[in-house]
Amino acid sequence: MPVHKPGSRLYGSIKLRRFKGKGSGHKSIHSDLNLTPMIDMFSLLVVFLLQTFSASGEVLFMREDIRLPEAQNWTDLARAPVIGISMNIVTLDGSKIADTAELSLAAANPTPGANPYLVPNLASSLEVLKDGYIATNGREKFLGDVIVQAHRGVDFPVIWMVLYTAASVGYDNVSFAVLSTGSGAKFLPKGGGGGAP
Amino acid sequence: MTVSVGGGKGGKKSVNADLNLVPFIDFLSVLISFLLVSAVWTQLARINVTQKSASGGAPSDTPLQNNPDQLKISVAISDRGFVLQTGPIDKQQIDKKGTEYNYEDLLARLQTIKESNPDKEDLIVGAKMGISYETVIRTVDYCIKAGFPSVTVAPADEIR
Repeated sequence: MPVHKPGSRLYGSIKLRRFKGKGSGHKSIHSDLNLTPMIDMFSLLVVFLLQTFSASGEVLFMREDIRLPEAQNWTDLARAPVIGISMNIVTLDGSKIADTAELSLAAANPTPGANPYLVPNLASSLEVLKDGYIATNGREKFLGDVIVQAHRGVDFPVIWMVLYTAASVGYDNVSFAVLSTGSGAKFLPKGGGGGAP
Repeated sequence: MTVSVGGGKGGKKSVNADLNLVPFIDFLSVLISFLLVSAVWTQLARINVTQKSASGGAPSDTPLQNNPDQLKISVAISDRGFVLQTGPIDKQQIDKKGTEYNYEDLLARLQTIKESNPDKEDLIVGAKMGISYETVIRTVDYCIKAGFPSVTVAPADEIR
């Protein structure tokens, strides 16, 4: 900022127009709004959002008590019954089926004479779902798809009990819900990776 | 915004035309709003496993991979690490690196097996008591990465 020699100054409160700076008419109050950067930004945003857009919709809802494991070799989700396994409870499509701790205990200390892996409540609920599906869509369309949405810290025996029970009533095409991190699976089974139930 | 189509000379009607940007900006705004509302920020996906019982029966009612002509490949997960078994004799122990499982070594060995058996697609992953679900999923993930997309999951003591 330049330093000026002190001298006489006209205060702003003194209304002597002829002493003030001269201007040629009024300055226009219209100004052009430059729309080019805004449209550029909009276009980039649209391209980005279209790339991340998923047309398959929400098959699965994130639950606060379930932290899913991550996987790089994944495939897209398909609609199927969802068995949720948190550290506390096991659910089927949101309805409580059993306590995880009880299942873990049952797996560690099997009752003599009983099937150690079968979860009766889960089996009966899955049977009801299966019968309903077959009654609506026919037996040949039932592929036995089920999604297991389990917390990453759950012990494997609990998972196995759920898989065993599901397979015992015909749900043997199991998908594990994961958080996708890579670009997806390069190798797929020759018979296909399952589809809608 | 003005679009210039050509120079107009004196006496002629100007060939400059204004492009109306308002509908375009409206459309973009609506599109962005829709995409933002319907955006899925957490990418949920699945990895498939096949249970050994293909129809009806419970998994342990039938023995695992009982076809004698097929090469049996299994990965057993224990507290010490992995045991990679190829056929009835070949057993390879892959120890942990500190507290972490050595997934890279498992991947390398599985890829070697895949190179010598390119048509082989199925494999069994077995886990012992106390192994976490995350470890099983990561192992299955590496098996698929190595070229074995048909993975069966079972308890380790059922792999025979």
